[in-house]
Amino acid sequence: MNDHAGQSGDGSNGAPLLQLRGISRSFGHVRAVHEVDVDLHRNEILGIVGDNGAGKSTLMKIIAGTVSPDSGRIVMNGEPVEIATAQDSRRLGIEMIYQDLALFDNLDVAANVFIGREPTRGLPRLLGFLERRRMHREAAALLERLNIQIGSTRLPVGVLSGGQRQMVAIARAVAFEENNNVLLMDEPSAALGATESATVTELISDIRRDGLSIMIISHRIPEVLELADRVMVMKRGEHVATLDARATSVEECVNLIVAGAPGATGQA
Amino acid sequence: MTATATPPGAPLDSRAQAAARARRLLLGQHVLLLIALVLLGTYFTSRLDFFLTSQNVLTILRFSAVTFIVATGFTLVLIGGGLDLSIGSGMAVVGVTAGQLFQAGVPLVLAFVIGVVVGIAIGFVNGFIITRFRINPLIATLAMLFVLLGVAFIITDGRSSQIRDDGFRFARENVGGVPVPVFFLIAVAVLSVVLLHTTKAGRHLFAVGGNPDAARQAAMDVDRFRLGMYTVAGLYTGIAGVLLASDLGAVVPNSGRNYELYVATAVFLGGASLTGGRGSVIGTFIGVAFVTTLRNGLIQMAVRPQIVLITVGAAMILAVAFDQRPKGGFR
Repeated sequence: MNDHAGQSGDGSNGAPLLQLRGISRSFGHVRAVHEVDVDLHRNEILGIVGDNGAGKSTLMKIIAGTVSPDSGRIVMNGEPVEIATAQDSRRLGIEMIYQDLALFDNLDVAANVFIGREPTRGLPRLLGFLERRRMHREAAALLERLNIQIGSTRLPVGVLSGGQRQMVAIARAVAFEENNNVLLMDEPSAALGATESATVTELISDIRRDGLSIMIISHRIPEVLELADRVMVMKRGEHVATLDARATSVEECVNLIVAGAPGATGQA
Repeated sequence: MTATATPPGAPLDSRAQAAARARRLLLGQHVLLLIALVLLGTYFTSRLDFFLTSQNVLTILRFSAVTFIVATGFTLVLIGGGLDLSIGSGMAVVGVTAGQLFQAGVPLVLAFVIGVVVGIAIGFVNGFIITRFRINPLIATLAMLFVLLGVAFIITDGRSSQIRDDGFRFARENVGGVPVPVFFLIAVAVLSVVLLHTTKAGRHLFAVGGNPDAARQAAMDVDRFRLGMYTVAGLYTGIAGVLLASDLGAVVPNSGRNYELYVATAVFLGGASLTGGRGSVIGTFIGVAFVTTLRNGLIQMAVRPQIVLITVGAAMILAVAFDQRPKGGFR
């Protein structure tokens, strides 16, 4: 799957889509994220690795708007942006998939894909009548387009396997793509077996091909190296190094995660 | 529907089948309950000459209507991840308010409307306490059960009194052979089914009850939903409370006693869950019919009231045990 050469990662499109500069955030005395710079290019997959407490999740939540930074700037498409709430980031086309997936086990697949954005008619807002058929039709089309194999959009999500649940969460995040730019994923394969993990990896490659820029936190270094264009290593809230995924190795990544790197070059 | 049409090669077939089975089981719970209801009715009919008389069936319908209306509010609250133990006391406060006003010369319709408004206020207070002070709904509404009971006794000065004017007893009237409360039942059922199963608000109520954290991440205002659902439940408590008072033709401060038991049993039998996110109007309807028939038959058979309570309590335990059964471990 290391066919990244034909794809336009690595900033070949000029200016980065998303730039973070000097982002810091502390919780009490703990510096969760300290003076971190990140560039996310158009249509690239950026892996973020690091030990527990390295600040990966906090960094992602800052981009997703659920944690606000103490200092630093965020620039999107060359314009400075303010991301104070999850709605702000969503408006910018940034979607985040949390580790717990935030699915509704008691609702069916179509309901989960459309939750909070259901098409309605008749009365305004919350009293509008759900367009059920349309949701099932569009959800089924979405699953087919993403090559996600789930028997029916009417299955309650609670009965799906871990991999299917992850794929429903991804489908929900990319469902409204006219506005989608960036997808943030926290440990997408943490709870999955090998086969399901491979299926999810394939899906992530597929949606990147559709033009999304993706940031992935993962503990599975080999998987990250296979999937990502670049890998950013964090330690104790600081940026250690950003590596070309094709040019580095699992050993190098692990060394950087454990030791931090004196000779780290380049910014993320 | 197309649950069996799983694509080949995927390790998903068993899952899809499990899902189909789960749905059958869920449906099965309603069907099982219906069968139990028919068996129960058959048994009472064989033991009691007058059980299947139109007179008695109308009585069951009338009482089913009042219980169903308040049980529907209880169902909404459970679906949204809450609980309301104060319904019986709430109905009592509503009933004595309407009754006292009527006796003081307030026109019937106005007394009725004020009673219902009091019910709405009670629901709002429940929701406000729970969402504002972050009090567990079990504790909050248990406290409200006692507070409201006290209020009902204060309003009536601790006395029950007959209402002389038969005009108040409209709930005993029939229109075209159908008891008046049944019309309210139909109105509440239609409103609730539409709200719960066809609108965005209903969908989001299931979401809020099923996974509150995920609902927040999907930009839903969980607290506002819960406040809203308790308020709607209060509306239903108000309607049921006025109908009950009208049916009794009296001001009785503890008229709503034990309604928590009957309602909770009916709703759990009908498939709603304490863990939130599950329940349906139709399930609650069958559950209420079952519980009301059970009570009516036992009372007709001159079974002591204590035994009736024990029987209904046992039915509740069975209903919840059924709900908690291990997945796939049943049958």
